[in-house]
Amino acid sequence: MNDPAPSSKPDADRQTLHQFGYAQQLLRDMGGFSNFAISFSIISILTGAVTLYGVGLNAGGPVVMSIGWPLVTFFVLFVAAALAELASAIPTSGALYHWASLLGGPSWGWFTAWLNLVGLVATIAGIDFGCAQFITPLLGLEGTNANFFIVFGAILLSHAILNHIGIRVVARLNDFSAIYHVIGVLVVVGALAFFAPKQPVPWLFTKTFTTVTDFPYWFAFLGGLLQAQWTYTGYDASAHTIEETKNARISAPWGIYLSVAVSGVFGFIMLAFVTLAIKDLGAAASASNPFIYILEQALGSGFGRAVLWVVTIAMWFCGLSCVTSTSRMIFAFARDNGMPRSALWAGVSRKYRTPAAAVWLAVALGFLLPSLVIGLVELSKRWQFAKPYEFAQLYPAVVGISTIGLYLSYGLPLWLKLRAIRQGVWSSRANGPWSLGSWSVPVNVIALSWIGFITVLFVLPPNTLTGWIFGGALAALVVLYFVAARGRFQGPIPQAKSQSELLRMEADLER
Amino acid sequence: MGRMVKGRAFRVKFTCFLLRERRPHKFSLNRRGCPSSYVESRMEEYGLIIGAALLILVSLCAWALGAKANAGVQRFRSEHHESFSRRATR
Repeated sequence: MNDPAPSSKPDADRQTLHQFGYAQQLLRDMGGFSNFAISFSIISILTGAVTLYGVGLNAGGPVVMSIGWPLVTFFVLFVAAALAELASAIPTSGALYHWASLLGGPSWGWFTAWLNLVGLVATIAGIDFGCAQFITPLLGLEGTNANFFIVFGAILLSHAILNHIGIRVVARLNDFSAIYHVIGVLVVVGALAFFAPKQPVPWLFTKTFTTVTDFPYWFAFLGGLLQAQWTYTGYDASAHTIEETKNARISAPWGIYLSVAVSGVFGFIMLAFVTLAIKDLGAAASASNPFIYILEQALGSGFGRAVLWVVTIAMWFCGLSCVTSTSRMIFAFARDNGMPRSALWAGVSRKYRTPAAAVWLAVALGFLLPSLVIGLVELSKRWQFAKPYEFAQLYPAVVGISTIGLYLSYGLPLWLKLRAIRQGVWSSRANGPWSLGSWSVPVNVIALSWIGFITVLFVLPPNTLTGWIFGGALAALVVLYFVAARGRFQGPIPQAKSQSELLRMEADLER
Repeated sequence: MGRMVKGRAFRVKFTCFLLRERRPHKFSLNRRGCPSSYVESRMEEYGLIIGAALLILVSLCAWALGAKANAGVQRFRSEHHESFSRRATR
């Protein structure tokens, strides 16, 4: 077989990727806005703020919206900035996993990868199952588990097909999703501002409302931060799609950072207006979905139903981006032989230049998680446990797991970077163009402190179930590591020994 | 300490830093002897100040981090532009 000659001189993005030993297998077609849009869609203020609005309101009342949201935004900005710096320095799809491997060795990389994967899969499950629960009654179907699962399967299937057929269509949909989210928020805010009666602004700081009776108010308030913290997950998507982004070392870090900053602004405006429209705080808190209840009370049931559709569509967009992010993570980890049957999951569709097998695996794992939860609920009832589990009790646990899993996987590379700086292994020369310079260390320290704080907070009562499930998952990971990965997993492996070989691989894919 | 007398308006017999005005009141007293609705309204006012301060802090922090990163990006771009022009003049 004749070796095909490289068609053209590689551009800066490809050259950077080659320096890390990887060929440009995925289609690099995303611009800066698309990269921002994918993270902004996963953060999805309409999804996170709406579905968990009741959690925040019940925990601490309006103060969770007026003080809690900006407080969480403040710290998450530090986490985003610290991750953005690393994305600029090491622009590969593996992102967190790859950073941890280079900074701390293969073992750290392996654990980071699995924590990230657990978090991402739990996010797909949480978002898409939530979407199914919203869409089922809107379609006029009965709210049974069987119907939820049929709709859930259909949603996942649509995400898989779109992600399979190309990043171009997914990127366009994400661009639309970003604009859709902004317009959605403006419609809700505009309607409330012009047509709804409102409480005075100081009412936003009504401090004494809580339905949590077992703990002091301040502790309940901290528990309510889960609402904002869960919303701010998944913005590592900009880093996972970095091999598909043009001008990656600058566009992707901005994508990470700006998605958090813009979500912070629009999220606060929306939450403030919705909270000011509350007529009866107690009735709103006890409603099945307080957000929709408040809108129905303020603007009528027709508007409430319309917003329900807006939110459901936003959730669908959010799930689509989650599948994109998870599939890129699986692809990158499998490319370095980190997964069982890695060769299969590292495969790239020649026709569409997407990690097709990884897309379908991400969707399958996303489907499996709620199935396991439902299975556990049914078993606990059939075996007549003293306290059988309820789905409504386990679903927030899935949300908690996605938050903790993702944030631990964000925290590990940040901690390893600080360790590398202290050991003199990492110098400013290793930074990419998107760099915080002398602020880097304090920003990393604040980010790590926040991650440590929320990890502990979200496994304390009343979230002990999350702690137990996550603890079990961690124990399983440790066992898996010693059985299957220790000594075998080598960390990032260059795909070729020379750049010309990488160019040949690329030319072969393009044929 | 103040106390509630059935059938009569509430009379303030104490100094409470949270109270600046006196008016008839029908709510119960808290431990300090302040009517709880006054305490609540004061808390709301403090909350408003804290909230506004927090929003300013978050905005400043977001702007400062972004500006710092942007300076790094501009430096990188100018360095690369220089290297390109040097290469071009050789």
